[in-house]
Amino acid sequence: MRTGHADEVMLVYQHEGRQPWALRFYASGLVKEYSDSEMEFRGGEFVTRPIPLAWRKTAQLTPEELQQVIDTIRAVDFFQLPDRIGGPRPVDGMEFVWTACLDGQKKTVRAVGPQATDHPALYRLRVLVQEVLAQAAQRDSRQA
Amino acid sequence: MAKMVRTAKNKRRSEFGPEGPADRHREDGGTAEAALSSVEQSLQSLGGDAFKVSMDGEARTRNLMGIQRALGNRYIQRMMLQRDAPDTTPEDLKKFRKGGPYPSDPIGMPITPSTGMGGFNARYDPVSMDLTVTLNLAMSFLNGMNISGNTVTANEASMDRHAKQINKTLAALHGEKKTKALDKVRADWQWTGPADPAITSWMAAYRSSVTGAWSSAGTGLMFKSTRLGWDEQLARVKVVVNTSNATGLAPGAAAPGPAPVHCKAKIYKTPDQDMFGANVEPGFAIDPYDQVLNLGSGQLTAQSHLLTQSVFFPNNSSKLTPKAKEHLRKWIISFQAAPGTTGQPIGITGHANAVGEKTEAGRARNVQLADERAQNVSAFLSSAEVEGSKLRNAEKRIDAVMSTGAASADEERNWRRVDIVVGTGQGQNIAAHEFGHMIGLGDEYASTPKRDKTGNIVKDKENNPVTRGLISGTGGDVGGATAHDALSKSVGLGGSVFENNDNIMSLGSTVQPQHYATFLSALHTVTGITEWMIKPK
Repeated sequence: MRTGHADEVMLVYQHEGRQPWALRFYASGLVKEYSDSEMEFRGGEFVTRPIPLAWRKTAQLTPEELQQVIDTIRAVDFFQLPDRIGGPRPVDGMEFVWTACLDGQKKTVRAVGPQATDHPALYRLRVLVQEVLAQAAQRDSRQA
Repeated sequence: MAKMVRTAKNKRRSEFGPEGPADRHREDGGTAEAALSSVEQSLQSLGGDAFKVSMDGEARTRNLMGIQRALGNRYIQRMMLQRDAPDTTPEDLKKFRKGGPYPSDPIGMPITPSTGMGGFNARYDPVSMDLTVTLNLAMSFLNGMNISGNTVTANEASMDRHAKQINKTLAALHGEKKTKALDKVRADWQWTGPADPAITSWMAAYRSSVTGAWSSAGTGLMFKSTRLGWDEQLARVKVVVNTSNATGLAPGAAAPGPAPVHCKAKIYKTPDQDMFGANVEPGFAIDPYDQVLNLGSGQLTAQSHLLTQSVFFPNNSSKLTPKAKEHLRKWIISFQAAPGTTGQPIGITGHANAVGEKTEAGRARNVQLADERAQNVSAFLSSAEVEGSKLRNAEKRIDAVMSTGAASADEERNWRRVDIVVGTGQGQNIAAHEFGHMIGLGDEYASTPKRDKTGNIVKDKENNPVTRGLISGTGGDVGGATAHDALSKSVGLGGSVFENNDNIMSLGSTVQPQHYATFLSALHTVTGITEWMIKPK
């Protein structure tokens, strides 16, 4: 069972630190990105251009892709994870904040250090995020 | 002016100078030998390898001539005068010099700074006057991105944003262009293997960059003794960084290269841009050998440019938009001078894009626009009140308001802007900044968190700290004490507070006296003497 309203946020993945960035997955399948840069492939190079820091639509997931996200949140037992993962915050280190709202539950997990990358649950979520967004981008490209 | 006639005789004399002391001694009948011995002793006592001489006869004479050419007649004269003058070196200094180096162990003494982070070995040689600070790093070289089919995943969480952008960019490409782009991802984000030749050159560049940024030869900072009669006793910081490639070593296996290892480093392959969340895991406060450095390979050459901030304008307008004003208010919060300080200079430069540049009138309009934009930003920064405060010392700090018109600009809207530059405006070498943490220094940049009336940091609905300004991260409030403030004060180098400026532990590259606090503390420890001060540049 999903959250009731299409405009409710279902999953947030947020980077806190020197380079703020975030993704919001809505129950409607809409995905927004909070970023201050955009990228293009020009002249054989990946070129990153600065843009004003703001929330922008980045993808629209299909119901199947959205279901993948929901299944993974459940599969990693997200709501059973500790509130904090990793040891002391490294100097200059970023915090990686995951928030999920599902089945009437809401939980935030803050991760720092190597565990933010390697903790099995967070690793699965990170890979999932890349895969579903890549799928959506490829579909958009084909349709265009 | 007398014309110099170059004869065989005066040619020889000219090598020593017209009235060179060595010649004079030679004419005195045999004192040249004494002169040479004296110079040799003096040079050897300085400890310079280049001048360690132990030759006889002609070789010694040639050597003396070489020394004379390198150091000049005045040096030879000074040595001779010193030889003839009574030795006024205090006995305790002689004893101190004779007793060195400190410690006698060539690897130095392990130092754990009282700041609770960092660790290195230190050794002071009272003859060469070098305080050698050694850090040994065992480095693992890791790919920044993994590629599976046409999808990229980051090998470390801070690069997830770039993986997402690469995937979106790749999705829009097809055929040969996509193949080229994937090849480019491999080239930019992956090492060719543990023996990639680029690793060796990267390590050499790292050593050069860090030692150059922190040694006295680069900073101009050094210590001098304050003991009575020890005025010429200096301590020049010589940072020695040893690196070894430990990629793929089994856990617990000894790293190749010099031991003990102070810091394990994970170097992720990235393009030459600031695309990684570099950090230092400090380990236990009492262990100098358990740090971990995480760095993107591109952060050795790429620089972070937070000292330059820009505000943007609508087409053909110099009026500050509400959004621009909001940005400037945040700028005032972030770049406020710490209480009790004057703050660093601010330069304001207006630009215009190149639309209209084809006509004389258009060019004139662009110059006028750029100038008005700069003046409006300057006026706003001088007068705006944010959270009950104005920008302190604004009149003095804003030392240049300029405009470039559309010079160098294209027709992109990004040129409709004003750049605000603080201090030198020089970018930050992130590898050198992180090295500061490895020697025990905290951050000095201010992230200006929002606080409630009781002083607690305000969090948003997702429990994240709310930043009032433009700079986020692990910094504190402007004017608050940094991790090395107490140590810096205790060793007489002054305090250290959070402020966004061009200091290396803030947002720039300038090494200030307080950044030598852990070195000075180490000098106290290894010599057992606390009578040292920073030598003014």
